[in-house]
Amino acid sequence: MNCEAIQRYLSDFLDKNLDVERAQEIKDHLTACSLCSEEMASLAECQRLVSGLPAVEPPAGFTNRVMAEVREAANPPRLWERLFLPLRIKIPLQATAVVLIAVLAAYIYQKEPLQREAVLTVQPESSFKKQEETHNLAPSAAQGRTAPSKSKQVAEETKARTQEFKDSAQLKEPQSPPKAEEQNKGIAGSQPDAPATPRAQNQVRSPATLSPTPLQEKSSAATEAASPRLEQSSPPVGVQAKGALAPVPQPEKENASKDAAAAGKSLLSPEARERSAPSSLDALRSGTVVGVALPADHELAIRLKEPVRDDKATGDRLAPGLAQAERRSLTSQEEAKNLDQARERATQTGQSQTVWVTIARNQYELFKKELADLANIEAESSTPDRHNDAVAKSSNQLRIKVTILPPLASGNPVPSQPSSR
Amino acid sequence: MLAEGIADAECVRRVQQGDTDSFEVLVRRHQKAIFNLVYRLLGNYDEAAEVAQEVFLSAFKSIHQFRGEANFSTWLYRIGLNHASTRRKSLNSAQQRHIPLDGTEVIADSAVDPAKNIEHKEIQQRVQQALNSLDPEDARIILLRDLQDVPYEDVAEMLDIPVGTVKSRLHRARQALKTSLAPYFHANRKAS
Repeated sequence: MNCEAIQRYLSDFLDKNLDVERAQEIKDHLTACSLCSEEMASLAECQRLVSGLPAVEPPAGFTNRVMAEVREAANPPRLWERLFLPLRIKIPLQATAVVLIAVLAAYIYQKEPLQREAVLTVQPESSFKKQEETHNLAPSAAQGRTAPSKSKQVAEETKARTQEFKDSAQLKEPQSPPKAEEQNKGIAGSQPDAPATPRAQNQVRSPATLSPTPLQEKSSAATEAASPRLEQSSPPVGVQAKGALAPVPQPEKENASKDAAAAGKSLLSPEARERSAPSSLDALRSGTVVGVALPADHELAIRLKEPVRDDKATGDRLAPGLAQAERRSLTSQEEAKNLDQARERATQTGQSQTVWVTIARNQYELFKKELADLANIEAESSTPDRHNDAVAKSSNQLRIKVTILPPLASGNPVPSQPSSR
Repeated sequence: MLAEGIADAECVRRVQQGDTDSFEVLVRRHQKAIFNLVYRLLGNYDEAAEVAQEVFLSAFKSIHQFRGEANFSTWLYRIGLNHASTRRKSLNSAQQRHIPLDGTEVIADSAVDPAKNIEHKEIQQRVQQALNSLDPEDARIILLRDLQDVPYEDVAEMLDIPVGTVKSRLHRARQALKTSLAPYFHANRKAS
């Protein structure tokens, strides 16, 4: 064998894996060949060096660590053990807790405005009454409501109140007098035309109209007007009527009067007359209607004077007998009686009363003067539709709708000048 | 009390029957060989400790697959080689391998001249460096044969190759190691 063939067997020769003959042949060659002998020495040295590498001891506690893991693998810990025992597993639990707390906090933070809003929605019931009593709102009467369904009104009212409270919350100083005035404006004045504000609508729908009728002639219209009819409207309107007497800035008054005229129009139109029958169910709750709800030439809203605060002369004039005697000269006996009853009822119940009377056209001013002795005329309006009515024009009589508002509680200022158009 | 004298096959049988403590006998019996094999393949003590631990844990988890057709040590070595090869690949891809100079080499005789000790340590580091530079297949076969003195047949079984292939590969691996250690041999001859 040549050197190349010999060197292929050197590794086996080193490991003594060759048969005796082959091993002897290689041994002979190595003795003779220095190159192959040197190669053999190098391989033997490599083997000696590798096998001479010292044994390294495993780290201390190696067996225990292995067995700990083995036992853990044999008996896998339950979920709660994984969560609470080792630190490296506890970290996810803590992270989960942090995440949960963060999510909960975010949820509460987002829910808080809703809760505040809900509180604001409920709270206004009492606080608004206070506001209405404390602050004076635009004049309005409770009658003439051709409002839609009650539920819609409540919804609109709630919405409006919530909005007002939000506005007041934005002001940040709701207790200070200037801000309170702004709130009043927001409630009664600044949004008088907003359809979603029922308060403004109520303020608007409050005019009363008088229609003069001569005492001598009792036309069919007068007979119609004289027939008694009672209607009640909702209590909140009475409350609003109370607040409606409070002084407000002049533009608000004007707006209210305009809207009142519009509301009066709706009452006077034939369609509205038809509608007034079902809507009278609402009217039954707030006040009393004496007489037949007919189209009126004039509407008057009067606020009864407070007897205690009046001077003696006025008090005498307010004496039922005397007032009745004076009005007898202008109205029929039945209508005068209705007026007296309505006035007494308004004083006793604190609810507005509505009376239709018929007087002679030329006695309208005199009738107003008599009413002025009894009460403050807070709103006056005439009805164009009625004036355009040819029959009405030809008649010498005026039909007047008088809304009698109960006297104000002491301390509340009463507007001295009626708004008229 | 653990019976240290019982054979591997018996320990394995007990472990397979649920006696976890019997596995400790196997660990104590083979931990040094496995650890050294892994350590020489990786050249890093800490990595070796971690991989050796994984080897035993893996062996325990798959001990129900051991059917006793081969020696337990052969089966365990195969697991060790696979784990070490995987780790060695990941280490190679992560960074250039270098000789660990962590002082873990144990000098056999502390009574020897300190200069000799230093020389020995240097030689061991060179050999380890040469092993690290070898192809993993070559390193494995050299370590199994020359370091662990595993018979050819077992090596063939561990590597799942014929015995003849083991011989030829061993020859090739030794040639590669000789080439890698050639500068050392050259210097040694000059010095002598």
